[in-house]
Parts: sequence; structure tokens; C-alpha cells
Amino acid sequence: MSSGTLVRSVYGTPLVIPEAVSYWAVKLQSGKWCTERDIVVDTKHPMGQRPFDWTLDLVGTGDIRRIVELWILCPQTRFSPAGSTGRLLIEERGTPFQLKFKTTSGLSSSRVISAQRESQIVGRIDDKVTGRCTCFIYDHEWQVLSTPWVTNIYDFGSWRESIAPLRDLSSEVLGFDLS
Amino acid sequence: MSDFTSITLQYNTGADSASGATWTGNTLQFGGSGNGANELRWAMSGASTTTPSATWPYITRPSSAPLAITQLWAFSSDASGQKVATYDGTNSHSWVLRWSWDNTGTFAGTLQFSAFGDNTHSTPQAGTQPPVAHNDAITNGSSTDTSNTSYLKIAAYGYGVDSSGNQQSPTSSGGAAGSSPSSFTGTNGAITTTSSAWSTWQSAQGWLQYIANGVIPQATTAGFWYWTAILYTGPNMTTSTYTPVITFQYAYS
Repeated sequence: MSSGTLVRSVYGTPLVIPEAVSYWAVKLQSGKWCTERDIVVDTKHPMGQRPFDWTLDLVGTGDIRRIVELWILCPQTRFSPAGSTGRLLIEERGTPFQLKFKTTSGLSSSRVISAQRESQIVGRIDDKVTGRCTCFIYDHEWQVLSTPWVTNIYDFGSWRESIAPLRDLSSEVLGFDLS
Repeated sequence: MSDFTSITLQYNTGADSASGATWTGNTLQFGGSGNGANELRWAMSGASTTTPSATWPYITRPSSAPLAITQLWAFSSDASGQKVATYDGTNSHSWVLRWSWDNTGTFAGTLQFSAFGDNTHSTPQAGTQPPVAHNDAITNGSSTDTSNTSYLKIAAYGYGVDSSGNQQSPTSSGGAAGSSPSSFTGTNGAITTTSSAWSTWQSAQGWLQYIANGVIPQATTAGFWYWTAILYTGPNMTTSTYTPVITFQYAYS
């Protein structure tokens, strides 16, 4: 499926991604698409429903092992007026992952009001033995989607100087399986 | 899981013990409001619970050797704060500060914290005085006063919450937080905490020198990660008003 078709299936219009933040989408073996923008019924949630969740709804249900494509869909920016997308084909079970990253600052005599930044990462483990992985990163501060970037799930690196290496990633939360 | 609803800093206005510490209501949110709110402020004397940021007392730079600043205050609004009772510019107390997170989120990677000159999170220029744009004298440090480490030192206790969900807190009777640091203390890279023990003291110098949690705390489990700090000043620090930020970095799914 092309990025235009996928976005059309979510929004009914091609390519333009009318969201302020990035989000992930996955295609399962069955052909079904699931995205972070889906809403699921959850009687335990105070509102009775909540957004589709990577850990609860993919890892928790076992669908994490049925992913065949992992996408990141990124908003329109001045660098990318139509938005941007990244796609990872998943050929081996247990290798896709997704996470968000945040630095939050303050607590000193800061005169800057805004203090939070986020990035989103989708990735695929390419070598289960060494942990080598390929990722796309949408950097919300810089408003750009990276090219495919190679790092390691055991020692996740930093992609720019104001971010510390993420180091270990949680297999329990993210659902990757190295067996 | 979604992001945390609340990650905050709490400070102790009571005694240095599990039973004597006072945390209730002593919470600072991340992000300065721009008018003096949610600030940690250091002082030697002359500060009070109602001193606004604009008239916060100066600290006189020492003429010979570096010294530790002996008072730490936490201000939830510009002219409404409290003294952190167990901060005295030494490592003598364990129940001083703590990160607090709720049970709505799940960490997906390593927790880390440090300090930067401002919210651009530009890498400090170790040892450079006077500081350049987006640096400050505190996190840059001095070749003479601090051996190019930050003037701000930090130490953290254990994992906060371990991977099995157990809260790790300092010894209930309080006491020393690790071995006493000096103005020269600091190690390049991360100091990684170990289970139920005070970390080695570290310099808070951006992501050049910082503290990292040794595990990823258990999912959807509220917790406290205890830490403390010492701010030094020295004869080679360029004088000015500095407004560094303390930065907490984490990942979630």
C-alpha cells in the first residue's frame, strides 16, 4: 500500500496529514490496518474508550507478532508541506517496535515557558543476536523525519546533541522478541 | 501505554528520615512559568519564603577556593516558596529531593537527568568562563574551580522503582548520601545507579556528565526516585544571574 492510499484510508484525502503530531500505523497479516488514531472500547477506562495502544492492543493481544508493515506518519511542516511517512517491512516476527521520547525541563530560574519536547521512533530489529535495528525518527522540535537510521536496542544512541542516548529499551513494554 | 499524567519534583521540608520527611504539597511542576514559579533557588543568606525572583539575594563569589552553597529553596510561585530543610550543601542527608511519577504511564527506556544552561539543551562548553550563548557558568564549570566539570553535583538512590515494582528508598534513618563530593567531582558520560544504593556523585553537565537509572522501572507503577544535589561556586566563576534548567529524559510507548 502506498503512503497516499494509507493516508486516504484514514482521512479520506490523499497525502496531507492533518495532525499536529506524528503517529504510527501497522498492517497485520490479515490485511487489517491499526493506527494510534483508532479508538477502542475499554470499560476500565474512565471515558469508556481510549486510543489504540501499542502495548495494550498489540503487545497485549499478540498482534505484535502479526505485523507485516510498520509506518510512521508525520504532520505537515514547513519542511514537508504534505507531511511525510516512513515504512518498515517486517519479515521476522517480534522485530518491530515503537516508542516516544521526551525531555522535560525546568525547576530552576528558567524564563522559558515551554519545556517539553517529544520525538517518536518506529523501528525494526535487523539482527536479533547483536540487537542492531533500523529506525525512523520524527523529531517534533526540528519537525523532520529522519532517513533510516541504524542503532542498537541494547544501547540506543542519540541522533543529535541535545538528546542523551536512550540506552536500554524495554522488551516487555515494546514487545520485541529476540528468541 | 500513554504518557504519564504527572512527573514532578518533590522536596523535603521536614526531617532527614522516612518518618520525619515532609513531602505533602511540596511539589514543583516542570517548566518555569516565566514569572518565577516552579523554581529551585540557591542562596547563602537573605532569602525568605516570600522573596520574589527579581530580588533574590546575590551570592558573593569566594575569593580563594570553591565553596558549596548552603541553602536551597523551592518556589511554586514567584513569591511563595519553602526552604528545603535537609539541603545544606553537603552529602549529610538522604531525604532531600525526589522525582515522582504516577501509575498512568510506562517507561520504555532508561531514565536520565542532568542540567543545561537553558531549554535549548545545548551541550555545555566544559570549563569555558565566561559562558557563551545557550551555556551558563554553572554547567560549563571551570578548569580551575571544577576541573571542567559542572558546579552542580547530583547523586541518586537506586532505581526508584525496580523492574519488579519494588520502591527503593534511602535508609529510613537518613544520613549520608554516598561519599562526599568536591567541586572537582564528575565523570564523563553517565553514572548509572545500582540497586538500593547511593550512586557515585556526578557533575550535572548536560549530556556530557549525567545520571542514568540502572533499570527500566516496572510498568504502570507509581514511584519516587530519590536524589540530592550540591551547588558550588568558585573564584573563577563569571558573575551574573544564571538560570539553568534541570532536565529529565524518558521514553514511553
